[in-house]
Amino acid sequence: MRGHLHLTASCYPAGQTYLRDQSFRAPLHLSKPHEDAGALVVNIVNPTAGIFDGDAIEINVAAETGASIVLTTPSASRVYRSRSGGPAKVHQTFTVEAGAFLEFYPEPFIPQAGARYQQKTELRVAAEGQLLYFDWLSPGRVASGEVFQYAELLWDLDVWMGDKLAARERYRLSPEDHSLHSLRLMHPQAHYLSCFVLGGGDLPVAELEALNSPEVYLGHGPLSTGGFTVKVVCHDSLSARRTLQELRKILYKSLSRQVPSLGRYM
Amino acid sequence: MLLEWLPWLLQVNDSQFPSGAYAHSMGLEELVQRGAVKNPDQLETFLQQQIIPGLLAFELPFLEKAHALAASGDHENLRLLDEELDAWKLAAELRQASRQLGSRRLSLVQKLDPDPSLAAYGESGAPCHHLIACALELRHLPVAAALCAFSLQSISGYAISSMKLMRLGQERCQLIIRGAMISLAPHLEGLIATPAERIGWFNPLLEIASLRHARANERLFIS
Repeated sequence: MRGHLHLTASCYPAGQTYLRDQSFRAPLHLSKPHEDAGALVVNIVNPTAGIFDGDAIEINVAAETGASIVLTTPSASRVYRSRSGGPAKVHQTFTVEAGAFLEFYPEPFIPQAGARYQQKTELRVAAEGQLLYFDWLSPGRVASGEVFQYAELLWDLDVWMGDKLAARERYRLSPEDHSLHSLRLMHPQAHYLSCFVLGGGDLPVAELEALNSPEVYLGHGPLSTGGFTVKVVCHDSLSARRTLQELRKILYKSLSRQVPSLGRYM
Repeated sequence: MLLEWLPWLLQVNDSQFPSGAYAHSMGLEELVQRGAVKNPDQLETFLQQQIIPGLLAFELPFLEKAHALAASGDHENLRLLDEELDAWKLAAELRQASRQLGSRRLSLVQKLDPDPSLAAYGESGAPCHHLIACALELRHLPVAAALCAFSLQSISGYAISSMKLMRLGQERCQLIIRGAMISLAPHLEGLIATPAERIGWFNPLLEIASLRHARANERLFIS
């Protein structure tokens, strides 16, 4: 399938965020957005079983000046075994203008045995814009005995602060080489969390450090152009979810924002 | 016949060359404290399964590009690569360590090799990452020699810093370095013959370790 999601969040003079422009095509769909804590919460839904090889999905979301938008997914994103030998592809771009706020908070990404997947992410944040971006990479269908049995994940990410490249990541993950060794060294079924925080003040170090435990190995630090990254390796899905929930609260507090409810039990 | 660049390579790649590398563990100190790398066997595994693949997938292809630009005197594009490295190195400590090592190395190289273009690059305000400084100092050497020299610096940096972090003698340390270089060397020609279209490597543990090291209560190393 060739699907897309194009959204532009704008702001009424009274300060309320609305979707000025929206376009989507299967396998993506939008649930009805709701407003909470001053932000428009938009659930990106994939009503199909998941993502299959050959699928190509393009996501472009822009937050215009004054808008506050939270993008989330109501359930995990699954990528299924590649039958053709080719990958599924997702290219997502999140753009934040000055004076706007955007959060992307997806449920876990679950690559199943034999899955091939390419994800390209571009985060573009103007000076005075704020962005919270989360990624949650699971080892697969652990309950079914599938742990790191996907064929190949290509995971690309560029973060731009204005016209400066703030962060660049290029991962090729495959059980056929050593690319998963580091992730699995402490926890054989490790979940990996990644976060970028752009446009806020300093992070509350003590609160972040307190998230560390025998099950959670977390590090955080400043990017070269301002903004921060937080990286976490977790023992399992439960510790990953707990960490992500707490992390989200801490980061919202550091941005002096109320935490919008995602409209589901977390 | 003596290769004319060999004395230069031996001098700038000597462990006594005062680049300041001895003060950095590049995240390994935190991994040892965390118990992820506890003894010489695990150090060997760490080098073989994390550092060498990382060199082959990221640093060496990057150095190959930088070396070509340095050799042709294209400092404008070399600077772009230098600045890009700031974005690749997410952990601030690793970023600073790389800049410190590179700046120090380039500063000394300028004195040994008084080429005005080197001085101009050093004074241009470029980040001067270690990898870029190596590309500049080894610009007159064959790229294979540059890749080999950089690999040895990286691997021996981890191995030698380990002698302060675990029970590891000099002889075993040298055996580990030798084993790592034997594993890596056969890949270099292929890397040069077929430049990688896609570079990058995933090492969350080392990245988190480096992010955490800045706030460690006890530290022997700067990074």
